[in-house]
Amino acid sequence: MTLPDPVRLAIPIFVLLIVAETLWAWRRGRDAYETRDTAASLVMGLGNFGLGFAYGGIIVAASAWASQFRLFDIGFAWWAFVAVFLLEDLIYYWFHRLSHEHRFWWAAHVNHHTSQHYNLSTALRQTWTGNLAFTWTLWLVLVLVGFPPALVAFQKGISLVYQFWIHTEAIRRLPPWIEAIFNTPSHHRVHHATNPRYLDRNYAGILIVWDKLFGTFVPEDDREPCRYGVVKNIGTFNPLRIAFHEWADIAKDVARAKSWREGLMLVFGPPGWRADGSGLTSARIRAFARENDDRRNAAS
Amino acid sequence: MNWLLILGPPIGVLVVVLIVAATGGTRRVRLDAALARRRAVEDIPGFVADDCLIGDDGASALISDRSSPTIAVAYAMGARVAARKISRRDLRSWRAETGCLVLEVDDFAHAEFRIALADGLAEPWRLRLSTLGPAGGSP
Repeated sequence: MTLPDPVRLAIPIFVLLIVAETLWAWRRGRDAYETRDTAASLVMGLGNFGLGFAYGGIIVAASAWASQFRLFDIGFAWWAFVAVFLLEDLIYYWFHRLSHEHRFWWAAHVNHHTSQHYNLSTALRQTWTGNLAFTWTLWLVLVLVGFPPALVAFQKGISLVYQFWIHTEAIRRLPPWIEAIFNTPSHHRVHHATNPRYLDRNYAGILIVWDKLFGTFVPEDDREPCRYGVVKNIGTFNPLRIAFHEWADIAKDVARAKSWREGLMLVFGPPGWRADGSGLTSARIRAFARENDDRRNAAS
Repeated sequence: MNWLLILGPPIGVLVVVLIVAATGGTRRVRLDAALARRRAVEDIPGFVADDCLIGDDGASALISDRSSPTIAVAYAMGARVAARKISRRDLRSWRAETGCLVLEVDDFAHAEFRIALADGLAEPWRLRLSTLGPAGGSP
């Protein structure tokens, strides 16, 4: 069975929606878009698409190889589409969580979070080094179970297309039943925010239920508007620096490491980790915020 | 060779960027002390904003920390503001050039901050910077 590439089909729609959101923001007097920021995001998206072609052969070959060892012959039955929808989304959740909680994979993912804007163009600020970080191997589990590689690739594409439209401030809240089940603009704004209470939360791809199940869900609080970007904003619109800055920082930190253990922690530990405990990990940032809240409460 | 496939994406990017520019996408924020202080506190956990020195062009600012010997640089990123801590570990060197202060930091993404200061650098800031890193020049 031949399945279409949802991402390739959706690209013209992506462009039209970005233009529509730009005009919406302009009419409303909102500074949702910034020229250099948008240019950087779109160039990152183009680069990701091009590198996907370059790297695609390796992933196809690896999937075909893994498919030899599959446990079942699932094929393209209707229920296979339902099952792959759920299981691919579960894998996406863990891939995304891994990409935030361990610096090696964060280095490949951080570029997506570097914009201080949150709009549809931010969705296209995609990684250039994700495939080199071997995160794609997580999806081989589905091939080993017995889902056809083409079906897995199709569902990955559906997930990516779904995640495009949630990068917007134009939609505040959707009906409660949708907010309860699906990842929405509101939930994903939280994911892109650096406010301590929002940090490293809402990893979902399509279904927000995974975050609720694994304890990483935080709803958006209108009293605390999201501040977008990364904990240490990078201060550049240069796509090359955006793509490689964390890798460069890892290399620099490892070169200064005083032991193997420290070197390994600097690569695979949480982002921000420092041997002397001074680093700003998510946990430490949250602790700072709690201390501040306690101090404020005590004073009042 | 399919020219549409080759030229289409860059032309598409250019068109979108031009539309963004034409609809107010080139706006620049101008920093004031309140904004710079607030942003430093928001971006840097544990930072207690104290003195603030705004660059003449309103594009960047220095903020001292009441709780430690570090300082922060707040800087305009188009319509947004970002702030980062400059500690002894980060600052490679600093120098006061004619009309601006230059901080060189240990950072691949943003290695140099230039703060427009036509009237030179006041003594308290000179002292603060000297405790963080070597001065590489004089006004």
